[in-house]
Amino acid sequence: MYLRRLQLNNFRNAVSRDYVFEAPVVALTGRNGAGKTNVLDALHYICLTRSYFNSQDQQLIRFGEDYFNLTAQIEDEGEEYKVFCAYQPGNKKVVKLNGQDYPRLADHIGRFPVVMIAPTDLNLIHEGSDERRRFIDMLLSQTDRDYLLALMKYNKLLLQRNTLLKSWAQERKLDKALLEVLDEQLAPLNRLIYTRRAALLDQFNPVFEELHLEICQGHEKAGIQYESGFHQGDAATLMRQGVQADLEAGRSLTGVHRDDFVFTINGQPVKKFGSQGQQKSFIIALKLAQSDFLGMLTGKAPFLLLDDVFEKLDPQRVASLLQLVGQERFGQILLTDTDRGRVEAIFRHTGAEVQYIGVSS
Amino acid sequence: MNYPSRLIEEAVNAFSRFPGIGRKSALRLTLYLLRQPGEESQQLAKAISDLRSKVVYCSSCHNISDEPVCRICASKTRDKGTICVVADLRDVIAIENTGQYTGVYHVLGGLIAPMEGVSPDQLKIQSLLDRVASGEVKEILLALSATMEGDTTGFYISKKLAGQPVRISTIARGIAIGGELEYADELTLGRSILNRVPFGG
Repeated sequence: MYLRRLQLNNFRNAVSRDYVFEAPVVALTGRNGAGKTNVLDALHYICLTRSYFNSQDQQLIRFGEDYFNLTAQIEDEGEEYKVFCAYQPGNKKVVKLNGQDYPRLADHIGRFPVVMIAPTDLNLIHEGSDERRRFIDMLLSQTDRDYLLALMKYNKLLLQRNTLLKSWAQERKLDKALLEVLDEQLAPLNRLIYTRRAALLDQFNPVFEELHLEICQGHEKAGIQYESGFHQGDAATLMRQGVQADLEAGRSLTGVHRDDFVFTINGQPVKKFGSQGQQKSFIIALKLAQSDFLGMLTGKAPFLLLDDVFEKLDPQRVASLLQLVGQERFGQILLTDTDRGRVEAIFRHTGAEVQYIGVSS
Repeated sequence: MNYPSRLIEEAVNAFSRFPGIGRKSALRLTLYLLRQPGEESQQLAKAISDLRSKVVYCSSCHNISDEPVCRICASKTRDKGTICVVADLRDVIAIENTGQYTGVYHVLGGLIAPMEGVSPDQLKIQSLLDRVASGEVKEILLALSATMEGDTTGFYISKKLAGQPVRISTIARGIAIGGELEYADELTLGRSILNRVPFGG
């Protein structure tokens, strides 16, 4: 998979930009605020029809304008593809492949896999468990349709159940049979989601551990530990035992929506004990493992977007990182940096073909 | 929008309250009425006011009816031993149009959805249980939407009927007649394969 050309119109701070790409590694350099990251985010949008940083399409429109659009030319297995995305508030998002609409947006997502590594990724470590669940859910949903459908149904049923519990807390009114009916539907979903998450980690952890070792050049063993109430027993039983507590709390305390994924190095939580450098390496290895995993499942090496990754990394780790991503199993790399000299120095000895693009506003 | 007449504005306001009617459509309807003979408006007004004042719900199945007991429930040829449970009147019309059903109905008036504020006691579920308890009913046929709300409502009713000597069935779900297999959505197709039936049977 190769990105050949990318055009941005009214996307974030870009009025009109047109980039032609000619190398397996593309370095976008320029001052802060010049719009380097926008180029990466534009490609992310092209691949997944949403921004990596912003969930609201409206906020991606250049100030004072009323629409944006993006066009990418991607070469994949000898074929040229043209992807067009456009958004105007009040209208449906437009996504076209070679001029044709998709019947469902979901059919496009995953067609051109992409993985972004950005400074905000440290949130995965520091923020609440929902960030980590979203990471795992994204990974699973892209490759397991049953999982995605179960998760969507689970979330909807859970909302219904919580509404019921809240009305008990407020009005002391409860239809017990209805609660049972919801629980009978939730129990098998809990079981499925729990099993698939556990199975995913069994597959994912070895890949992740190995990549982490290569980046650190050390003996630190990284892993993701699955924390779930369902380690203790069957979903239906535990849910039944938890009903009283749920009623008192006015919300559901048992279920996969309470799961967490603890990031560990040598068995210790990274959040508490990891140094800044360890945390960064952890995230980079995690994302590379994600790329590797997606590559295995889709048969395509995802685009790798590295936003401002080198600046805050020591030379030793940078070298190991480059050695890794230079391998065939990783795809085309787009990276941003404020300092072209630094990037040149980093790549000087790798033999990689690098294209430099200066970005200024 | 500015209207030259307050009367027109009031009519537009009234029409635009209908689902699917915006202010422009409402204005078109208003002007249309003005162009028609006066009797037409009279008839329309009468039809609307009769609808509200005279319509009743069948005391047995809660279908909309002209009489205290609807034509279907009153019919001697309909099988009172089978009750088809549906969400609303539109479903009754759809099933009647098939010409395949000879039993009677029970109209719930919606589906269970706690988030939208629809709880079981707001639906005609208790009266369904009462009808079953009266002993004449042999089969309950659930004809509910294949959505989460439809499923929840179905499960709820079957739970409430547990222990009653009544057969509970549900309409089959699968490939549409005349439908191309390749255009069927994967969930429906998957389920059709799991619930396959003997050929010709």
